[in-house]
Amino acid sequence: MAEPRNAKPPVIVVGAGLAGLTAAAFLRRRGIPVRVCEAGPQIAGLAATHVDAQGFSYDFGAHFITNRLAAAIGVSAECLPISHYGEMVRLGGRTYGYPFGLMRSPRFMLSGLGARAGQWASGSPRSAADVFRSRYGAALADQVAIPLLEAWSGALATDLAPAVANVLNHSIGHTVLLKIHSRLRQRAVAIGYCHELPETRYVWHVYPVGGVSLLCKRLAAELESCVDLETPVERILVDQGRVVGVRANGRELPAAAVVSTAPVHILARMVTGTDALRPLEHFRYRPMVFANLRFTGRGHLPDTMMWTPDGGAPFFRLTETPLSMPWLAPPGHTLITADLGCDVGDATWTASDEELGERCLQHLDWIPNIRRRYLGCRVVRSPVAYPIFLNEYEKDRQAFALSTGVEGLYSVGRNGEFAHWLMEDVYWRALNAMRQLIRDRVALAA
Amino acid sequence: MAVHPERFDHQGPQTHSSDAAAAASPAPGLTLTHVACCVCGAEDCVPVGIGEDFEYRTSLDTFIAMRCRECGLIYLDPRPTPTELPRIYPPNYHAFDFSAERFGFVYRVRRSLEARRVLQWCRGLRDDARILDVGCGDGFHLRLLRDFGRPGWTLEGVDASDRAVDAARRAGLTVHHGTIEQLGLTAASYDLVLLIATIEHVDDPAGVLRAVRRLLKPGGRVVIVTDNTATLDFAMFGGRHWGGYHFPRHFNLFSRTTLTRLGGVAELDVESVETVMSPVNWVYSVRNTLVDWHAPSWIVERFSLRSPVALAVFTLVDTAHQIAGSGALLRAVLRRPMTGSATNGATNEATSRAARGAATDTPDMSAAAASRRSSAPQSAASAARTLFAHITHFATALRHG
Repeated sequence: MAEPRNAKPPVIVVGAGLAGLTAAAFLRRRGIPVRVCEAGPQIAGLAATHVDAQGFSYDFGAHFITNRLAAAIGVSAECLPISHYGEMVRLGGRTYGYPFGLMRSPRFMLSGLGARAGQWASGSPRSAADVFRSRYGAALADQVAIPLLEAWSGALATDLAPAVANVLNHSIGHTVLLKIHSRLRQRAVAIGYCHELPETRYVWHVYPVGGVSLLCKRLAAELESCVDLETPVERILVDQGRVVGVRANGRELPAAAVVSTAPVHILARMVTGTDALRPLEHFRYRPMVFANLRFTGRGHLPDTMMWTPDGGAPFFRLTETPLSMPWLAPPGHTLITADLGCDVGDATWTASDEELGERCLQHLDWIPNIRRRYLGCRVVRSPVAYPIFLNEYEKDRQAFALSTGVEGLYSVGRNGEFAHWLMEDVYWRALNAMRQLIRDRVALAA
Repeated sequence: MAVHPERFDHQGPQTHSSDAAAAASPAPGLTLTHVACCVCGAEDCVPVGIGEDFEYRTSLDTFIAMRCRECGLIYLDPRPTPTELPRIYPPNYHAFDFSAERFGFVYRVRRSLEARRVLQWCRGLRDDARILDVGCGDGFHLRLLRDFGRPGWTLEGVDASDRAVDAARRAGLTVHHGTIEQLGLTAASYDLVLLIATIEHVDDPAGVLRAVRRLLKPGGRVVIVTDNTATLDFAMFGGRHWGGYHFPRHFNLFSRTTLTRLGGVAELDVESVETVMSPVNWVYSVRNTLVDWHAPSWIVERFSLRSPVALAVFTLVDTAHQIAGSGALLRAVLRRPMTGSATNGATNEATSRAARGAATDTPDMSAAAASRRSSAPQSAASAARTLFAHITHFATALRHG
């Protein structure tokens, strides 16, 4: 941090994950001095990749990126295309294709059609449960959508804001077209993996050979010496409604602006000199444990991802990533990632890797010979995996989505925005936020 | 994430970093760099097209064509750095050797069409005029000017590729090796500069035009021919396969509006911006689609610069669009403004006469100009004349072939 005393203060970016590095690289390209403060010993945050000694590779949950994101960051040549990606739902001992397989079941079909027909009559929804029931009908909502939502968020669907349901934004016709194209092209056309830009038949899944952390490595390479590791930002200093600097590692540093990627409840506690962010202190994230179970053989799941809304299992989703990305496990082996919602410090959070593996295995006994093929489990934990859209702070969340309320303070990334953005969204939205930062600076200078 | 580690700790297992895996294989991709819009300077863009080097497969990269939200320019971002130019222009690149031997019948047709066009731009030039072709490739247009133009003209070319320069010099042409910004050619010494299928290849079109402006005599003109993005072929294929993308070699792609604005940036007066018929982007859009779908090579080969049938069919198709004012290429005539230190009156008069000629005389241009002037559908008679002119070109070339 050896800035000359009279130099213009830099924009300080808090966090060297995908959002922080994207924002910093964009500003640097525009000639704006920038410093990235990363608390941890390495970059990549939630976009980090772990490769174990046996050659199994896994991320914080299963990640899928698009050729468009890879091309934008400039890593497309180091990515391999994915020829197939599919989702299933396991319900009552039976497996259904998602989303259309479910519709073959008469009760789901009738409930769905009934809901569509009556949609005009339903009033404005008060919760995520209302939205799902009016959109899919009671049968599909109560047996599939709501149990999944509740397992994922750890909250009752009646306590969650209707905005949770906004993530599904495709018409049925568009989805069918993309699926047909996917089949014809032998490319996993991305469906539901980006909200910020249109999903077209030319946007499909790819994956970096060395893991998804390659995205951050490429961005960091562009930033050269601007990234400070093990530099936790303790305070963001605000004076008269405007960011003036940060305190990091006990030192105060002036800042032209601050771009935070920290979870918002932590951001709220970091900011001093204003009460504008006080409401964010109550915002909650869902901690998540990702149990990576290793097996011999491959193709234990009928498709890459399987939703498990039936109560009883500790997980709500299983992903056999090597079905889409064969290089994530050694030949003849596979990896199933189980997503377990939890709270920090509870029995799931504190369980050992082998305990968790055993707990998951008990609910996979419908897969033939699964126990004989089991090779052990590696666990990755995140205390802030997903934002929870509780109704109790929905108004504050909507206000925060428009602005942080502090001049010169920007909050980007999935945790920074407190929103259910996917990786590609994080990238394009971070760029947009930085364009806004530049516009604001120009306006301020004028 | 820069918060207290004890408060915010992603607990991963003790594992090897994936650095080892990444370091084991050298990067198979190009070195890329990000850029802002060359016309308006904004860096506010959205992806419109995503594709690969379908024609030469010079790298494994996927490329994004961005649209500037400020001015509408289509540009490649990120794009290969200058150090990658030898890689993205392979030895068999067509502009290095567009010869009768390689392209046969198509060469003769193109030669006939282009000779007519090129001479239109030179109309009114003095007998001792100096003409510079920037991005001359193997010297195709310079040879036309030498063979069909006036004997007193001084013809010179510029190209950054040593292979192209070698090919042109072998044909006995005077060609400078380098870029126009760096070469230090004599200022205010040229009457006409040609930028034919060049401006879309350069990293900094405004810089090139400013350099051109410096080289032009006051009142001298530059003719730019480039791909047009305001076309049906772009609308149909722009998501991935559009021939005009020519991934990753076309860095900037223009419409009438953006090309006009670029002229303003370089302080050149815009005399005309018209569209021109060309089958090439259509043919390559179809070809790229076929390549991408792994069609058998005998079908793919039906769509190339060496396939007269495809070129003829899409000549008819694009002639129809040209009549409607949206031909596949753009041609802009820009002029260095007169200043106090202008050259003699004869030159001025000649250049302005030439400008008038270029703006009104060619059949394809008169169609576009007419439709632009009146904003009304063109008369059937005029449309038939334009179509007839193109068919005649083909017939003539066939006979001479």
